[in-house]
Amino acid sequence: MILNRSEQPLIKDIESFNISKAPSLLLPNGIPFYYLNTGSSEMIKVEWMFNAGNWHQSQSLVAFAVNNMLIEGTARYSSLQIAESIEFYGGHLGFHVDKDNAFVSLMCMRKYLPQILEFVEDIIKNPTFPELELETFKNKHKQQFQVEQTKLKSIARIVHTRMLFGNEHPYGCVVNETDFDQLSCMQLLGFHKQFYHAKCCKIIASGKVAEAEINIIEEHFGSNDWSSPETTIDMQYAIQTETEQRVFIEKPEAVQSAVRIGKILVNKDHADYVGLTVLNCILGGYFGSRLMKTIREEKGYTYGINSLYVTFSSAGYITIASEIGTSVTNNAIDDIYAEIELLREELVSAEELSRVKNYMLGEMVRMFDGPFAQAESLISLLEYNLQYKHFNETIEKIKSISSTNILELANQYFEPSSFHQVIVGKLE
Amino acid sequence: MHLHKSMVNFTRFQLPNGLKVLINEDITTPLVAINILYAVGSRNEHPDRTGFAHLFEHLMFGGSANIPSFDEPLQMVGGENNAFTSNDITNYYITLPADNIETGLWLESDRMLALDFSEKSLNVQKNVVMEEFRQRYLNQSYGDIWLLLRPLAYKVHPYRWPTIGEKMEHIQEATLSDVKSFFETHYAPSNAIIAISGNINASNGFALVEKWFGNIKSSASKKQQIVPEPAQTEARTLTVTRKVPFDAIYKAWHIPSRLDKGYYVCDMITDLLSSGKSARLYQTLVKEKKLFSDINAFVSGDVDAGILVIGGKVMKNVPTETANLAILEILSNLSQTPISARELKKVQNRYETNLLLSQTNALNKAMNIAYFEMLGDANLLNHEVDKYCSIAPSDVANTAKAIFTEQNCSTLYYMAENN
Repeated sequence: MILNRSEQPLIKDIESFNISKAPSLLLPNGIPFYYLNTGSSEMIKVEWMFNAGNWHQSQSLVAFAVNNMLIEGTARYSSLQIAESIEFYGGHLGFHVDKDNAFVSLMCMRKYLPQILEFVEDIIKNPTFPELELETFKNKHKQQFQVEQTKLKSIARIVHTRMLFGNEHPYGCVVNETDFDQLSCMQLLGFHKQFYHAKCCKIIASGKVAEAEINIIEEHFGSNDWSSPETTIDMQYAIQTETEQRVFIEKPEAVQSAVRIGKILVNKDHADYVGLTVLNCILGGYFGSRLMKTIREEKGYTYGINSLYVTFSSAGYITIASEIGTSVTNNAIDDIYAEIELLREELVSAEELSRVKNYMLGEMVRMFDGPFAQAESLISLLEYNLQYKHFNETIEKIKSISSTNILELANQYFEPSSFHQVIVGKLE
Repeated sequence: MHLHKSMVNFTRFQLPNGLKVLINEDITTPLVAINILYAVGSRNEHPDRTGFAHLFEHLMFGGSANIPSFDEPLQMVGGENNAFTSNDITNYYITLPADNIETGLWLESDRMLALDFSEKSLNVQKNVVMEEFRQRYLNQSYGDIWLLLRPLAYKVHPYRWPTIGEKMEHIQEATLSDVKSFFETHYAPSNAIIAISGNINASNGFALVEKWFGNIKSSASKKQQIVPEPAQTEARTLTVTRKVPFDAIYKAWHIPSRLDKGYYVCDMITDLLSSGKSARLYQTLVKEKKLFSDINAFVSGDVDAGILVIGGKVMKNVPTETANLAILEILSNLSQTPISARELKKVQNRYETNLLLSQTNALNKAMNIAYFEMLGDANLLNHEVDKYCSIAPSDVANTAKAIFTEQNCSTLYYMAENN
């Protein structure tokens, strides 16, 4: 048989795929507990999600410090005892704070879950934020912050979100070096008491989660001894986009400029959201995107350029990010705006649109590949109070969107003069 | 340990043209991962053309003999792909919905058959790679550490330059005839291993691989002789000054090659030193003595004799010599006092956890199967944890004593300009 190498083998469309829903139950204290018992391996992952992100802090860095210092000591155990005990059983403990929520995540072999949970319960419920540990924490993180501040791409990212949301808004607020000095144990204890308790918590377990694991998680986290005075006020902030649309920060020794171009967009619960993710994907959301093709693959101006659509609980934004050789920075920026214009002027071809749709559907399949990916996908729903049907609706919307829809969305949302731009580096 | 439960099973097959094929069936995922490893890396470069293997990797995405675009047909079936180049290998991988595996094999086979060599594609990718060089190594603080540390630790072996290349001029000077001869020498089926993991029946998988790769001509690839790095006989030190906020120290010691028992002991030493918050370097130097803001230990993981590196950023106002001596004190402690059974068990539990974790992902499995097959036998993968678990406290002390000598050490002092 002679192979026809110039013709692609038969394409099988992604019609639908199995989205395993996590069963859930309420623990006696009211915590919603979700479990995905899908694993063929002996690993288990447990994630605790608290409404304790930056949004809820009244002073810079407090949410971050509380989350990251849970592990630094309790009334019963020292920082070293905690770390050594969890690590002895092969447990990986992770801490993460974003704009809206804070997370503690544990990955371990299920045979050691009981031993490890003893310690995890204690650090989540009874951290003491010891003075000496806080001192070390401040100095270490302040120094790491100073290193980060020398990176042009970090400066561009920070300045860009400040331009979009304003310095008074939790999504745009800029951290200063002196903020580290202001942290105190009292503050951390106060924030912890207010936001790390049953009413602010959801638990998600994935992997090998059988009866025994469910019971032991309930034993440690289901009781009523873990609540707080109901004083949590939902803070409200107004977005105050800066009027200055172009910021240039000169770095005479740069060999590349870090560039960010973007604007505020709707978030996940808006009817236009899915359409805008398709539009963003065409522009710069995957390797075959228009920005990658023009600016990297045709002109070689950069190692990489992408357009990211970021969403939070109460807003979203699009940000085009790249590091570009200083001698071609201006050309590349002109090309970026030209690509935005083009989306508003010409219909996307059927071939390109179908490629983007299939790529995005493939991404959805990857979002449900294995228990841990499924848990992440579930968390992405919980962050926005969405239901599982959101995924099927997303799939249907991606499949049904037309080139005309894309053109309309581009005209409605992608007015070039509405984009904010920051360049950190050098212009030649 | 009950490792029989957590083996990665695979079936193996070799095509007449020399291509090795290994398949791991995993019906728990809707995807398949296809990993193709070519046994060529920056070690195979000419000293005047460093960075070439990596530049070549970029050219592999510029279209092949019968298919103008590599990425587009793959995106059309919901697939994703990428690649990396190391000192020893160039590794290409795809994940895609299992039903569309044939598109992946079609694409990979065509670029193994022949690339669409073009002057334009070469020129663009030279620029892209030079921007990558700038982005990763020149335009950020501490970015050039590997450009400095490698030639300090190696004087003879090609590991002395990084995969991005020794300097940008080498990338700039690459020609289309270099590209063609590199392809002919190194991209033969007999120099490649394909590993597939995911929702695929092994016999169907073999049939499809045979269909698309079976008629690619084998070519006699010459095994390149690489001169081993001679033993280091005296301490080496390099001090540089850069516009960075804090001083940093990087130290490198030569260690045995990848399959030597000593390699596993060295790797375990790096875990004792820096895996997790209870590890020695973090506890002593970051928390107790407050000499570093961060410090790490790791092995380079190369096939030939590699290096063990300890490096970190020194806290403001701490003299680098004080910081250096504190590292040496921890290492001397390691060679003098045997580690406790509990500390040993801690790192062994870590290996077991990491092994189980690595098996939850099809791409990870496909990469590992191909890598260990390149080392000699994919089944070595299933004995990795046994090797770590057979290490005794005395092995750790003896190896530490043998490795951490002054004459085996290269130290880079990376000084902040205004300190």
